[in-house]
Amino acid sequence: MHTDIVLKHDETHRWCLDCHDATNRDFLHLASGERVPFEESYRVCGQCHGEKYRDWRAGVHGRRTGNWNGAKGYLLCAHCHNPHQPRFHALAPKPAPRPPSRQIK
Amino acid sequence: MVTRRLFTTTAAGAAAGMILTACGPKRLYEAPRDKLKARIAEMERKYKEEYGKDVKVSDAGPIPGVHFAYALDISRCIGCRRCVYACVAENNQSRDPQIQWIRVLSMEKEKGVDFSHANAYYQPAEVPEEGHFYIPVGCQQCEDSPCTKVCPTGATWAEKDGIVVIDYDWCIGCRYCMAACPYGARHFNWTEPTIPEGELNPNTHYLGNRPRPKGVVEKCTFCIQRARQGRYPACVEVCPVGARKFGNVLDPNSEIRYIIEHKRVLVLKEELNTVPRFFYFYAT
Repeated sequence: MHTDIVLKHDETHRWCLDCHDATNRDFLHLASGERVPFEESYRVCGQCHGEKYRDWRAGVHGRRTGNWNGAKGYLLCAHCHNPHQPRFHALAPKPAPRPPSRQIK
Repeated sequence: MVTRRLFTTTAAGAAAGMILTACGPKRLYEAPRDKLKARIAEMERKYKEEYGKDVKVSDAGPIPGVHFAYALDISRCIGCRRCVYACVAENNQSRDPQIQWIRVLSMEKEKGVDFSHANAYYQPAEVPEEGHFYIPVGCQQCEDSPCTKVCPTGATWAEKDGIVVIDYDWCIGCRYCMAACPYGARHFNWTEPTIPEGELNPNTHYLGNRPRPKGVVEKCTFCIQRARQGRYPACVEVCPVGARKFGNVLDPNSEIRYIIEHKRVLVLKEELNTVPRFFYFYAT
């Protein structure tokens, strides 16, 4: 729910309406005031994270799926990073390999 | 005393041996097409019998103008081992005894890239661990590959697109290549490999992930069955942090070219001059 949102994203300097449009909540906005739909949220992120934005456009930052020489599956910033708390959470690792055993079955 | 006859027989034998050794990929590519097709049909029939699935064994050759390379972002990898298990499933590696083509090494940030203190068996509740970074290591697909030079039967060689492959039908299991590989990337089937029923990936390649017999060596092939269809390897697609990058270095617009041209890249054991096609980089 809306009230559950905790901002941990440079929260001392940011607040909701830095990114969300004040009059139409279905939109975001850039620093210039230009309205941006949620599908183009990366333009909002790119204002501060220019270096990551550049790498992402080059295909270096973020995951790609599909074809190396054709159609690729792209993910937007917000697909992996929660915009309100962008830091990644730790993951449980998959099992370690079994150390080599002495006998062969 | 060496008689004239003994000398000639030995010399002829040695010469024949040399020719066999020198054949390598030619055996596969210069074999009559219908003969290869028949061999593959026979293979597919056998696999269906064994695994109860329609297995497709591709013999797709290298795509002209394509040279594969791989890059892995050390600053992103969190050591979750998702790639290891995606690789096992995609490439039909034996579950018991366990064969894993990717080994994720945990290293201490204070020590830097230091293989003598690396740990592959880390198992904390959560990764990344404080003060650690991770380097997944598999086949580096070397341009000057030590493994292919020592093979006495020519069963392993580098393809034109840069993938080092093994023909399991010609591998005699001498494991010279394993001794020659400086990266520990090659693995031996000590027993008949086991793949749980229904978990076999039926999309296979002759030189890649087709089910292996006992007594042959296997290793990463950049997912040859996927790469030659234009797809990303399984490890690239599964990586939750997007640390793995793959593409054609001859394409100036590919992400792999961007990385090599713009990022700080390194290769493992550069001093050995193996010229790996697998790069590690720091995006940040």
